Amino acid sequence: MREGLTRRDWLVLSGLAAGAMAVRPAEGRHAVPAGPVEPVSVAKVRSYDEDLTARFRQMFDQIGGIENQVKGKTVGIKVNLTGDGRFPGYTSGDTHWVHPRVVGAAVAAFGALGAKRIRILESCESRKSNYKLEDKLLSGGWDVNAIRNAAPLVEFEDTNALGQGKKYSLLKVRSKPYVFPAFQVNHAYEDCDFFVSMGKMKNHEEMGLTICIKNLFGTTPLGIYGNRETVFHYGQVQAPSGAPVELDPKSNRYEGWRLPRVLVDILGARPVDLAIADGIVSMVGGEGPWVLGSKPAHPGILVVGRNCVNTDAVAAACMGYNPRAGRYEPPYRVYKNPKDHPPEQLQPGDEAFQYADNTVLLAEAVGLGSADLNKIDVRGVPIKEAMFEYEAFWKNQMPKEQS
Amino acid sequence: MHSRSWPNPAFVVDQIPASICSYGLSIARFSRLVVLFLLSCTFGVSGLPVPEAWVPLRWTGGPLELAWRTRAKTLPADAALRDAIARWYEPATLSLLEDFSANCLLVTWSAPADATIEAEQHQLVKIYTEAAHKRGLAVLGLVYASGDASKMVADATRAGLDGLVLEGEFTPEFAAALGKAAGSMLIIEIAKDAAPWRWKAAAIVAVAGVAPSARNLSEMGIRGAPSSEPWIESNIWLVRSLSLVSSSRTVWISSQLENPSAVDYARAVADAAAAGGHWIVSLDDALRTKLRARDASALETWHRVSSYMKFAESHAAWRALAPYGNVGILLDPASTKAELTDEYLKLATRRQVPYHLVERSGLNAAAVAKFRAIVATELDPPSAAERKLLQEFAENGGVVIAAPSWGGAPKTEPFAEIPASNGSVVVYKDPDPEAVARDLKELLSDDDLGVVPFNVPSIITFASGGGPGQPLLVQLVNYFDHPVEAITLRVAGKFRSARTETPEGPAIDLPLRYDEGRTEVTIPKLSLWAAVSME
Repeated sequence: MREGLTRRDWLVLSGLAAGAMAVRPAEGRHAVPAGPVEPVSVAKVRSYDEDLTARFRQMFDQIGGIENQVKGKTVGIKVNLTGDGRFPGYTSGDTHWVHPRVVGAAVAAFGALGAKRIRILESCESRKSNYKLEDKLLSGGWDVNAIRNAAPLVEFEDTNALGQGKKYSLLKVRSKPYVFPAFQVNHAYEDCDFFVSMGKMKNHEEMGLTICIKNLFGTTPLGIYGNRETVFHYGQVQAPSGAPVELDPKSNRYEGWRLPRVLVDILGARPVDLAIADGIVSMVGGEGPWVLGSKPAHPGILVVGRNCVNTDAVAAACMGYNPRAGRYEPPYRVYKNPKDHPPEQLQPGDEAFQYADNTVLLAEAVGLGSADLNKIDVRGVPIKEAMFEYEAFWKNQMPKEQS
Repeated sequence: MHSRSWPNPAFVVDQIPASICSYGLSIARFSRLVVLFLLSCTFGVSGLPVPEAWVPLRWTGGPLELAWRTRAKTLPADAALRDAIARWYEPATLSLLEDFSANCLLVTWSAPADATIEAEQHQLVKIYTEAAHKRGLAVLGLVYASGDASKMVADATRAGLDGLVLEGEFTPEFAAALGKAAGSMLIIEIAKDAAPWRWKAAAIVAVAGVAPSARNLSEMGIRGAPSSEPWIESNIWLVRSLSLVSSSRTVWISSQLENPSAVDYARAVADAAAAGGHWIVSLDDALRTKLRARDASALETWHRVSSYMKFAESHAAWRALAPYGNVGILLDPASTKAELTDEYLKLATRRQVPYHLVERSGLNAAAVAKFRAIVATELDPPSAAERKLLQEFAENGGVVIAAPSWGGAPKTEPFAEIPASNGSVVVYKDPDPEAVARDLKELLSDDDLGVVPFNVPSIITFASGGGPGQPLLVQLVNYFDHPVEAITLRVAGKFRSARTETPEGPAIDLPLRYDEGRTEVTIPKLSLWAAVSME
């Protein structure tokens, strides 16, 4: 979508109103595939001080209940953490990490549903030996013990390396792979019966959006891949010996093309049983305060769904974006500062605004879930009522009543 | 006065040799004697504080200040501000100093100007000095430019000044002439370049510092990395570096704040005081004008500054505590790379690495024995004896950070870790202070570091004490205006108690957690300055 269209325009065009839009999907002009569709629950949550455990129980019920999948099982929650910077007056959990109270409430809810073991998972990116995920959480000001005590058995594992496992797990991409046929990951991503991707609803400098699919990028261990940027973003080097190699080393190296496909491959390798998108407080214009022009926002949105693609599509719509947006359309019209990117990533070289492909459309195209809002059963608060327009807020164009 | 604050009299007594205690004095009685002794050390025979106890306050004004600022093109346009500056030495301004911790006024004394203006200034200052002395305040004259050194000292003596302070650009010849003419009068130079003063034996060292603050790189138009932390301007490293010769010497930091808020003033006090220094309290013209008019909001700011200074002065004993840390940073007085040295100290402080400074000449087996790691990049190259000593240190389990002249530097990687029996030598291809400070945090275990703070991106910590019979003191200064919640300190060893004190409220006991031989405490909320003492 080009600039100049109003929100009403895209609501009409994107199929929220009658008639679906013939938006160019990322992979060309194809009919919308019939990917899996599961209900998605949307809630307006004004503050992290609300009773989020009760809220989760309600939302889990709205999507059909998860007790049968959780009771007596091991639940793995991949939480979305990243760098430690801050916006003044905000915690990292407010703006660019998932919030600890969301994590604690989800843990409590899973515990109440009878989960045998709950593992909090993330790659910490620390080179320090014996570094623990708990240390990373403490660096964000989290009350680790409160989360540990929120359910009978809660474990934390830094999945950047072997962790508690003796070897890495090989997860093959079950959908049609775009770039990689398989990934090696920490055992905890295989040794779990119910896998949760808990992402932050925020923009991303290069990918346009970070929600629950993008959150999975952190499942790839640096212990295997060494450097995610050179291997996955840019494809400058192949994964070290022993890791599954990419299908076509001559494929497009441009990260706006490559990384969305890698993310879909990861989702195909480790399907998500529950997606939780935290947009209660968040940020716009980037994935962390280090991104120039980014700023905090208070969208007040929580989205929960059983299918990660469906959930990201609904979450994107709640952020005011067209879930079926194509290249160069918000949020996939991105800006890459030449200082921060290899020259070959600036395609074409004389154009500052670059693109990223739409991850949910790519996922839909390989049958991982529908990105079609006409087909997704949205429960709880309607999207239109929950919507917080990230792009408008970023550009200071937010209507007064929303800002 | 925080009556419950550490160190309590019992602690002071703990530092007295047992033989003295065996004289049969009760602890309480002896404590009172210690306090009386300390008080007698603080005030000289004139009733004025001794120089080492001076707490400085920039208190410029009068016609000469107006003339100097006119010449420097820094005179405010606002007539009310000019009037306040001109009339600052009216006796009423001294009443602002009642119950205020500063006890040493820096007044405008010498600047290029018409002789009649200078004479008028000297007469004003003379009268003001007499009044200040009656209130137990020392008065120093600020000298902005070179002049007749002998006359300057003679005039200052006639006016009853307790010393002169040089602020500006001066030739070495003038400084020498002034020193010669001064006799017993104290001359303090506010040095722009602090490095040479690290090694000079002066009871008071005054240096130009920065206005403490923090900003995200993005606010500065810089696209950082996810691991980037806010850019912090702080003087803590500077005060520490000037305490190398003697931990007890007095360090003054001179910095002027731009459009400061009450929090900015308080932070400037805390930033210098945390490591044992004094910020030369400098009020902006707008605040002074309002103070003169007894404006309520200005008085509130003034009282806040006062409360922070009182907190600092009521814990003056903290200054005597040696820095805590298992990392030694070697400094070479002969180094020609003073800026690089400064960067090491700044960034080690910024990265929360608890460190000691070690002068190169003091490098010996006993000195290194107390460390887990030694940053020896300034030994470039090390002598044969130094190399042998450091190699043995590494073989005994230590970590040595070395420059490429050590040998074995890698060609592509930033550093090579060369095993040495129980430890290692980490040789950098091209030592960069930022990389070394960052890598230290990852090369060393939490136990090696001793004190590890969490959730401190806008905070600088300084640990001291922790020796036998001493509490471990960790001070934290927040450089953002917004409070930080849930800061965790992980400390090697088992402690029985932890208490946090702040200028804002009563002391709070912190619950302790133990894990793998370490103690953890969480500070619920830090506004600006807190000190956690653990015993």
